[in-house]
Amino acid sequence: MFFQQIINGITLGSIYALTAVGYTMVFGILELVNFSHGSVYMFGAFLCLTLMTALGLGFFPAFIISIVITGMLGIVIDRLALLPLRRKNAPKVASLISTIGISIFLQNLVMVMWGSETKNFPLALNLGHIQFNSFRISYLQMIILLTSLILMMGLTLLVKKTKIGKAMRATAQNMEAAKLMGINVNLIITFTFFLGAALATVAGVMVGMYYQSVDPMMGFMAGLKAFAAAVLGGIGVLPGAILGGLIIGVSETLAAGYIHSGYRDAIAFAILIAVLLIKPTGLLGQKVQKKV
Amino acid sequence: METTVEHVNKKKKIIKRRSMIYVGVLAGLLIIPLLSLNNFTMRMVIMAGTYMILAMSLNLITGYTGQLSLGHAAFYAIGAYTSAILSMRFGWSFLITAPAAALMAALVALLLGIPTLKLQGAYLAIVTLGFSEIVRIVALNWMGLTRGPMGIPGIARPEVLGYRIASNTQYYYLILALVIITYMSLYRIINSRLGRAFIAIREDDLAAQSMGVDILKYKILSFTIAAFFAGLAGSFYAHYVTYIDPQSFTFNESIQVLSMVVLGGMGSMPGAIIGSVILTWAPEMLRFLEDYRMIMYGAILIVMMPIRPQGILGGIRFKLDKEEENQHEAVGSE
Amino acid sequence: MKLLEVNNLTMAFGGLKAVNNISFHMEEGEIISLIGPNGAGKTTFFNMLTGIYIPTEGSIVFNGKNITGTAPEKIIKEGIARTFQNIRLFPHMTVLENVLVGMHSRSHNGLFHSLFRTKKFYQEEKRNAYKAKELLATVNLADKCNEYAKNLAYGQQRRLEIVRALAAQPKLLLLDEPAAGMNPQETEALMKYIRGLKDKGATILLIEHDMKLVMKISDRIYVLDHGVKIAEGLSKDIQNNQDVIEAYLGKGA
Repeated sequence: MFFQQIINGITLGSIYALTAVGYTMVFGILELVNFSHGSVYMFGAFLCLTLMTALGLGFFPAFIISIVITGMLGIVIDRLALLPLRRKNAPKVASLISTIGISIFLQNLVMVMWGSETKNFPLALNLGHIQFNSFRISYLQMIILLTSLILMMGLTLLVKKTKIGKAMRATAQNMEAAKLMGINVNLIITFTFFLGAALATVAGVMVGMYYQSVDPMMGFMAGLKAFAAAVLGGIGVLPGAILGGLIIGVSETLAAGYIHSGYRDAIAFAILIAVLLIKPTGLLGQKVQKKV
Repeated sequence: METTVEHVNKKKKIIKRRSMIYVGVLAGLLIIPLLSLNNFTMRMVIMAGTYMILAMSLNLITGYTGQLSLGHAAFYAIGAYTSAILSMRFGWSFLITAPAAALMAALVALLLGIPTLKLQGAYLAIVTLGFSEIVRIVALNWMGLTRGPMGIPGIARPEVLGYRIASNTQYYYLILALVIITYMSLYRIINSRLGRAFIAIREDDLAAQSMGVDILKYKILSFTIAAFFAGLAGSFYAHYVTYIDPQSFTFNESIQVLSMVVLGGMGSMPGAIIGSVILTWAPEMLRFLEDYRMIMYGAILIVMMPIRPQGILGGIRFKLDKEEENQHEAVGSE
Repeated sequence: MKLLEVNNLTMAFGGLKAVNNISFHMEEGEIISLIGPNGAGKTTFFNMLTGIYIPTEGSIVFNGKNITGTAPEKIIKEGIARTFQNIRLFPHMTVLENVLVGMHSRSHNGLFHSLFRTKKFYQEEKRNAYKAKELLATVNLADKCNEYAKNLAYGQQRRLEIVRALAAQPKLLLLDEPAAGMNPQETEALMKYIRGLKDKGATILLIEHDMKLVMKISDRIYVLDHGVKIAEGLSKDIQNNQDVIEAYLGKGA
């Protein structure tokens, strides 16, 4: 029972982690909480589903196309709603409201286009499971874990080793200085939004397969929890998002199993608040010395 | 330098003009119910009043003190549930449940604020958001106290000084009184040593601290006062709609109130009022769009922000405020 | 009488000692300058005096009381007020309001008096507004009362910051590069102003790069370099001190 919960929790947590990365990257660079991220995650899942059912595409082509299109959507969001605010040097909270506007827009757009009811997500990869003594792991869970692991490692390498990763880190450290060094900051931001949205799509589609259903509201709670995961780990810190995602995933699964399933969402937030009280910058966040 | 007599005259003139404006506005507000508006419109007006209290109070902590709270609905909920439960279980009247609800919300804010208001920016935002989700989930699951998803129906209508409030007109005058109380209280707080400390924290917390402002103490004070009025709004809502359930106090509600503050202009009291009116009405005005209504609502938020990022009235000092300053000056040089 | 006595003060950030074992004292009524190249640890020293940094080692005794590690909002009540190197006004508050915030530690109106607009509320507000305007008049800002601080010219902002600190009626005033960015006329006026403060009995500790200003108004000078005190004394001694010349111009100068 316990092991089963842990495995389910890690699976869920790795999906949170993929979504949390989008929050943390955007925050790292723009110091903005991007509230549209949850809706983007939902949109990606719906798009993939539609490509499969309406156009009859196979799972993999549908998956790839939806990643690319949703990634583009991330770019459009930034260009259309956020760039004009950055140009005007608008307060951060104005951008925050803008992303909330996007979230409302997307969510209702999906409802109008696909209806507000829960949709069946076809089990594209029905592979069975491995039974151990007291618990079992489905192949789908292993695929989810493996995919998340590979993507996270890829992302870490990208940020640490490549030229564009270096530019991303520089932009996050100091946007003005990065500009002066000849980095095309807007291109970096565009790339970040693309990456965040693409990863969110992967997460959304995997959740769709895992629960075999999607609905227009699915991005809401998942988005909040992914945001919580990013903050828990230390917002702006990539490994922090992964750690935060896993902790939230495991703790809410355990809470649902051992305490009360009704309180499952509350537990994640309670843990977050408790951690922040002890470590105000999140688990892996660095304390910044006040500059006077 | 002018002479004392001139000063006194100027001061009197200012006070006279100010009172005239206030009397004019008040008279306008008082006759609204006489316009024989239909029930639906009156309900919208009353809800706009409720949102004004919520938006003005959120404006204190977020607009004036600069601390982003994404959980204002939590205190709205606490106020509503406190009122409903006290009224149902003990038969207490509105004149007791309303202050009790406000105090309860303030107490919870105090207890939450003491450990958490050290946090800044995104950290504080997620803590307030998380707290409000916790409140909603507790309301959803604590069947013994809140009846969970079934909600609490049949909350008594308010009785004020032996006068039973039942019609929309009567509710209108009640919410008008509450809005005026809230406005005056917050106005007085903002235009005082306290308010200056709040704004100084928003502007530059380190400089404020170096000038002797105990940052944590004042953030907690601002947060607690904001929650007090949100609790009051919740109490009114419970006794007005006479039915509450956890669905009325979701994250969307916090966001709705925050949008009102930001749209109207952070750190502007008239802004919060205008923001509340616009965003209470907007979804109704867009009703002809049917299914496309909320899409349009989202689009309006997206389009509005770049047009005026500081909000409709943000950064505008009202003539009334300026006159108060001049009055200070006149008084100061006497 | 000794107003300030600093013993063996050290501030380490990780392995780096920004301020290393500095001892220092000030008499009442003195103007003392703290000079040294950029990165010498002058502002760090200020930040320890005002409670923003807690010293790694050493003690600060002010007015006979050990104030080491006291929080900034309490330091000002003890009687130390400061300005900042990179002007930190409250930009969206009026000039008058900026000064009124400076009086925060010397006033008392709380929630009750503000809400009920008691007699005490009006008395204090009147008194403070009057005092604030008097102070603003001393730096020629009286007519700017209702202007937002961000709309002032640079030199005016520097002056407003000094007045905001003075509003707290400090026993010791710390000025962090008050003349930075000023033109010679403005610097001249500032010097006169600081002298005037001294004549009224103020005690001032000054960080400044403008040597003409420093030499003219300081009673004594301390020189820091790489966090270490390399010289102290009267103006003329400092001017001829070999270590000081080397610190500024490099070895072999």
